[in-house]
Amino acid sequence: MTAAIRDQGSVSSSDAGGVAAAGGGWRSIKPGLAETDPRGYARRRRLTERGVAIAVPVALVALWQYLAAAGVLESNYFPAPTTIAESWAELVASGVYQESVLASLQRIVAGYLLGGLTAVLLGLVIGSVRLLRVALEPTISALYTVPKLAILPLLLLIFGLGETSKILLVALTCFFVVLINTIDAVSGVSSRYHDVGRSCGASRWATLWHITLPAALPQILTGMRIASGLAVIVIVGAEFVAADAGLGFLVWNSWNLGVPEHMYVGIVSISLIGVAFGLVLRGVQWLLTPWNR
Amino acid sequence: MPPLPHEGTPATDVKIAVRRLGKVFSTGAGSVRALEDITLDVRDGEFLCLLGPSGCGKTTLLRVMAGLEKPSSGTLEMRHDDPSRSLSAVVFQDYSVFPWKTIRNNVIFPLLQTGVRRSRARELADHWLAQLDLAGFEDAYPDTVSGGMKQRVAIARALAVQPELLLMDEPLAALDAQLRLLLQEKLLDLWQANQNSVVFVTHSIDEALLLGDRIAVMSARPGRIATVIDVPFDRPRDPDEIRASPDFATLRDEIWHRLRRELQPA
Repeated sequence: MTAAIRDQGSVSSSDAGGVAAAGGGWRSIKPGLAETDPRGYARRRRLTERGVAIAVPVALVALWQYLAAAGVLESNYFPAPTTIAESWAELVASGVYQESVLASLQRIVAGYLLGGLTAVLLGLVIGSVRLLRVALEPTISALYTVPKLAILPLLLLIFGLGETSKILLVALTCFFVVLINTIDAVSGVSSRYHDVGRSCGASRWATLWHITLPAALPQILTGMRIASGLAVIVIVGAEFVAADAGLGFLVWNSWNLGVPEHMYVGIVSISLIGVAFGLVLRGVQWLLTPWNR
Repeated sequence: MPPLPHEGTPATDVKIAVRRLGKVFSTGAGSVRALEDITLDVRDGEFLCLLGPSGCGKTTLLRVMAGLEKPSSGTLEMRHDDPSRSLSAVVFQDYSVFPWKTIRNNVIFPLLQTGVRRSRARELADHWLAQLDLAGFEDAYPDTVSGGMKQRVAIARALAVQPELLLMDEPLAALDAQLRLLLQEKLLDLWQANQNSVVFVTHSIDEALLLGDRIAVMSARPGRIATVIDVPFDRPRDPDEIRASPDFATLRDEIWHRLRRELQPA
């Protein structure tokens, strides 16, 4: 049995000799690239990661373009990306595109803010008052599981074909997700934080503002982010059947008219809106929870 | 049986009078007697240590003193001398500083609750943070600093309201041994300079001997006061001197034998 610990010199000398006779030898642990050049290593890694994040979607689109140009893909179903880009330009030139994006965005933003913010306020109250929570939780869970698109006909019946029914649909969709997350977040705030508040005689309002809200905020914002995705999904569904403008309508109408390029313009734009919405919310999260940066 | 403080009306130099206090926690499975028949006085300006094995109810007793729990039986009376000052402030065992507030705003928070103006609260916060060697970290968030610093924030937060009574629940328990010694010395200095009444929960005999004027040794399940020991060391205390003194060793052994009896099933 060799000594387990050797001084620095003996490690490096054996290192030079490499692994000794079979059955024995030294395992040498040395600094790697990440240790000898930490800044360069981090920079190269960052560049590589950004590079692949961009290269993969670009390569997929290029492949699509190649297959479409080679005639492998049926152009009636899968028009080439360049064809889609051309019709995109046409739609922009005619103003139809802007109108569609604006119509959808307005419904999404209005519904999202209405539903989301109401849910945060109600959730804070319901989450902090035990009796309310116990009384309302079963009802809220039951209503949450109803697919909101299923009540679109009811909304149309009550509010007609105008904007109200679509905004309310988005609002309801966001409302329940945010509400459930907020109630959960508020009731889950660690009692040790409330103990601090109680021990220094904080008022109900101070407790809510300085303790409950910030403690629950990360989870509330998670709920808001999930809701943002759902808002985009549900508005497209509503616009398929009950709108004469908007990106959902554009997709649906292009199918009716047999213009698949336009369908793709709509589909890609919807996805881009979803991505942008998500980024905005990440920014909001960054601003509102500086301690988690 | 240890000598009990006399019953009835508390004497004038008594800050907290605990009389035959009991606490039962009812859970679904049954009930746990956490405290039973606790009678104890905390005197004006004294540093009282509650010492006992874990699970002996010392934290529960402190929480009753802090008004965070109500007793199941008996009474607890506290004298509030100066209505313009806070009666009590608590340093909790776990890091109960708010991660969403900067270190300065953590200390400001209780001050604002007691009606101190914001500018004054800021001055006070910076003063107490400096006292606890946290100058320069005022704008940092607690999660970016070490555990020892977080606990110093919690201590600064309690001291800043200058309470008549400081309630500390194993404030140093989560720290490593060296840091613990340093903070004990810090607490000793601060207390000697400020002389609030302190109730200090600990499971460390050394800590209790070093800091306390008296040590209330508790027994476990249900928690009772087993004995109250007067600590003979003069103030101001020099931690190194005290640890080296023969009295310290004798007292430590005495308390340890007492505690060991409590821990071993009869």
